[in-house]
Amino acid sequence: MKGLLLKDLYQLWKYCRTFLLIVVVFLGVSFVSPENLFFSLYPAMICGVLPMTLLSYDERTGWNQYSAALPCSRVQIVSAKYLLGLMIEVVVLAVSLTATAVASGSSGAAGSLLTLGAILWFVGLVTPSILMPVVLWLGTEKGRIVYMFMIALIAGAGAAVMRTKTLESIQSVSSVPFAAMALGATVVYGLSWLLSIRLYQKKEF
Amino acid sequence: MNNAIEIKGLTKTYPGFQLGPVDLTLPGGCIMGLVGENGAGKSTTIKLLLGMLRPDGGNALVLGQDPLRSGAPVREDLGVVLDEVGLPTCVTVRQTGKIMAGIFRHWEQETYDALARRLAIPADKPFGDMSRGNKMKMGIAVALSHGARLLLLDEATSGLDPVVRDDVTDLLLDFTRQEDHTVLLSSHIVSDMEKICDYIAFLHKGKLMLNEEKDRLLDEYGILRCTAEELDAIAPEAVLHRKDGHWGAEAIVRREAVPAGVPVGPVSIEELFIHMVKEDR
Amino acid sequence: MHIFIDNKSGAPIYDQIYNQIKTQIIGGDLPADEMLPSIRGLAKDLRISFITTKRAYDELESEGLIYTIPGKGCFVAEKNTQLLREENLKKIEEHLDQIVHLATMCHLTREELLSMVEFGMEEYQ
Repeated sequence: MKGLLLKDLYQLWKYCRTFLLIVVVFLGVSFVSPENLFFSLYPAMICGVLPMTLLSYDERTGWNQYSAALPCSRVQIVSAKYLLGLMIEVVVLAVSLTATAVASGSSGAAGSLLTLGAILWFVGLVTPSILMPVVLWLGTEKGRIVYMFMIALIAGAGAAVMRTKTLESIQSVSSVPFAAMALGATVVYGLSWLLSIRLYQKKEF
Repeated sequence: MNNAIEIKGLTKTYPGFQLGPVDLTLPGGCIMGLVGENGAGKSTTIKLLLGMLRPDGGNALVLGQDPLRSGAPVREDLGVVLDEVGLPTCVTVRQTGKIMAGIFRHWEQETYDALARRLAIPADKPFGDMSRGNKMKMGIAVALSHGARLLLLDEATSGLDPVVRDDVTDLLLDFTRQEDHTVLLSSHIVSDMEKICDYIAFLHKGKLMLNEEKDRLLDEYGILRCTAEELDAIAPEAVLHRKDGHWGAEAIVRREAVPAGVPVGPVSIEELFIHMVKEDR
Repeated sequence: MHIFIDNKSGAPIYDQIYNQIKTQIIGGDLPADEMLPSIRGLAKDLRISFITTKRAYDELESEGLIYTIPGKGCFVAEKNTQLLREENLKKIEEHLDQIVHLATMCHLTREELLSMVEFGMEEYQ
């Protein structure tokens, strides 16, 4: 398991530095205009698809076959990707919230930060929850159609968020329903994890 | 000696291709060459042994265990080199060692380092930029660095230059110095590996045509070069494959069926295989 | 001990090993009780299969030229002169068969053949 995560981290560092750049740029923008939520949400969304990007690399390099021949169980292989997804989300969340907190200064109440965090968490986990089982089961080639659909959905949602939601507008709202949303997303992520394990165990190479 | 591999009635069907039923045993401590054309079913057989595929019928035992049921633990004892190796393109020798140290319970870092040096694998090049030869060497270095007892090499030597093939031969012989170390080597061509193989198995269109001790095979068959009339005089069931030319005939024959005094020349595994496959067409 | 494998000779490899070790034992190059290399070790050094090497050793052992101590290895056996004599007689008979065959083919008389043998033996001594 440790080896699997390490391998993903090496690849992440090598190929996903562009993602990192995007995250930094967007956070920078959100720093300048903290009232616009889209710029803090976008990094969370694109980081949610990183595990899928790694899966497509695995397919291309033949790692998915090789790992099946190594003493890694399929549970471990799937779990490594889900854990990595969680780790990425935690990092993005921490960075985004810190940036927002710093940018908004004293105006950012703890409640609104919690709400923002819940939204970020939700947005970051929903995409991989749906995509991971599809990609693990059908492969990136066939999973791509679903992938495209999800990207469109994310873009749409992003646009909607950009138009309606600002940090001020969520300040007045209770953070309870958002926390519930985040909790729900976590449960869905867990269920997706279990489903992926089931699907991957049936897979043949 | 216990059998390292035991396959009984193994079948796997794909649209347009059926493997088996394959029956095959490989005693521990021996090297087997699994020979077959591309698409003959060599990779499918090896994947079934690794539990990467589910058989439609029959079963396989690897080191005495069912690969599907025993799962990951039995693979600790297997060294596997697949056709594509399958390492991420960005990792170096050192990084690969770190990854594998996190995967294998009995990872031997010193063995790995020594092998990488001995095989002269470029230390700083990412895997994706390496030549096919060096990629294979990486796969082999990993396979030999975690105390494996059975090596499964799928086309690991094809496309390598003669010098690298020679290195690989040495490594395999080093490996089987230990009595319980076994190698299954699949290839569409054995040639220089032929000498080190104890057993030879032929796969053709998913069927196992032959599985014999190599020396017995070479004892049993020979090449007969004579006139067409002389060849006609030999019992047809003893003639494996004949080729009639302008100036005489050539045939792979069972030596015992040839009358004494008629000189029968030695046959190579490759010639034998080609003749068997052609006869099947 | 020397062993040379000739891949092009056509003779089976185990036969080549068997013959060369045998010649060296009979010729006295390998003294009695000398330890032979391990089968796996020799196979590696000669870059040949384990079973091929084992077969050569098995044949040497079945002829009483070497003996095995389990767990220790293979050793050169005490030379059995009676056995050697019998073996050489067998070879002489085989060669004689051919000589007689060839002699009849070119109409050599018995006297001519015998004188050739005598001449040959004088030369040798």
